[in-house]
Amino acid sequence: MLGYVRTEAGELRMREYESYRALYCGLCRRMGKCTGQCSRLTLSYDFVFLAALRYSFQKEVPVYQKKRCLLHPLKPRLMAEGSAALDYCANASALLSYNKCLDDCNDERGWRRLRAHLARLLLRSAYKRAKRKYPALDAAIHGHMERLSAYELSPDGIPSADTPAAIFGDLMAEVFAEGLEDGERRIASEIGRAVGHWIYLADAADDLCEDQKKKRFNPLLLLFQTDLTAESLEDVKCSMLGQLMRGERALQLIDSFSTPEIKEIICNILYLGMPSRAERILKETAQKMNLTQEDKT
Amino acid sequence: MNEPYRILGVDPEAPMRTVRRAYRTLKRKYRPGRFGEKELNALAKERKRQIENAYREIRLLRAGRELPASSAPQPTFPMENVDFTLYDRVRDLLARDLWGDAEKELKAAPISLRNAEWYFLMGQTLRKKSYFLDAQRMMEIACRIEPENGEYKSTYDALKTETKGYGGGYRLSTPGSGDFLECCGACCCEGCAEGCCEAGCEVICEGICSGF
Repeated sequence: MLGYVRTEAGELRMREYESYRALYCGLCRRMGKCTGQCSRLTLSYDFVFLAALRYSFQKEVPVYQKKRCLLHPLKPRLMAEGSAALDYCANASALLSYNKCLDDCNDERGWRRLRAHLARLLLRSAYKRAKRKYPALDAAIHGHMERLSAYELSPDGIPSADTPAAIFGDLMAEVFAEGLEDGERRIASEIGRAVGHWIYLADAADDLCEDQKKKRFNPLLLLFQTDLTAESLEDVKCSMLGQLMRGERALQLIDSFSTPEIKEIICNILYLGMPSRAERILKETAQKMNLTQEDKT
Repeated sequence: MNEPYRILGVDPEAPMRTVRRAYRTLKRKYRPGRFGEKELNALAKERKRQIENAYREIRLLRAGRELPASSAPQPTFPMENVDFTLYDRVRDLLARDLWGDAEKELKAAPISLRNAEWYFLMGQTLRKKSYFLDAQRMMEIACRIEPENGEYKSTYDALKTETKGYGGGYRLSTPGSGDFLECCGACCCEGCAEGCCEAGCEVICEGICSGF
């Protein structure tokens, strides 16, 4: 999770924006409580999306309260009080971050590897606490991460960018659906799968230029090989929107959201925040790689 | 006897100049090395040979001569060799939404037999599997191998345009109005969204969006 899943804040109403911020601050606080202060360093907006969904699935209504925190000691901020949804997100965040570090320790080189080792040490206690609570989820995340790195090391079959993306999608499906039952489990899985797939492609597009220079694995380079043009990036955008449409279809099956604000936050992220984020990433990548519209001819 | 004309994508009645131009354009298109992937390069080479054969055949036919037995077009491009029942079977599986089986069937086909239709059907399979990016790539390859095929082109274009307008249903801030009325949320056309909240929604929606 890399902070790609965010709202288009300009389109939120004030009260919706406040709830969004309150969920973010509340999650940060719960991370400190559930998995230790170090884990708060890995806080990202992506998990607010998960938190908003889990509130709805777990049929909880967030309670907000004004509190001070370490970073904002002077002015009290609105924060969501502890709840099962937030606690779950804090634990899931610790598990994901630690497994990501573990993966980086094996795959990266140079200072990135050193950084991953340092982060791994910092997050170890958070990971242990989270693993104690959700051992099955940890095993699932670990399994999918291993599948992913095996594919990245030796991609076989037809060149494909969606195969590794789907593996990451499966991983996120597990994270979204943990502890839910029946219909809700299926809806959460499908949203998680679509969002995970989208995140993987967004990350690939973001790193495209750097990966090309350093000759690292990138699924988009694998798929397009030498014919990477501005039009290819347009295709990437379309396919990412396709993933979001998949998530949207699942979202429409949710019977009730815990509050109207939560619903608006989820819709805003899925309908506006993620597409505009994708557009920005692809535009920047095209600029960095000097791909212009003339390449279309 | 229309086969060579079909390959070059020209009308059988077309003047020789048009045939020649089509031949040169196609030959340039399939020049070796233009396709990055090894697999594609082999396909392009085959396709080029097929184009050359077709052009030679047309020239001989138009010169009023019988085709010498030795220069009869050889079944060089995989298309001629392909087990057509495989593709029929895959199309049938896709129609029944059994894309897992369709994918297995397609992957079992040897690489040397993979032609435009193989890429097209693979694209369709991947699309059903929600592998949209791979699907687009496969369709693109199919269109590149057989640019004259309408089915491939229209499916590829549809794949690219089906996500257009995503997010349009979301409540965007509109000056002077709180929420959209229900009918405005349902309609996506511009005319409707503009005039909707001002003068009798139903009338305008029915007028503009009937059949939407």
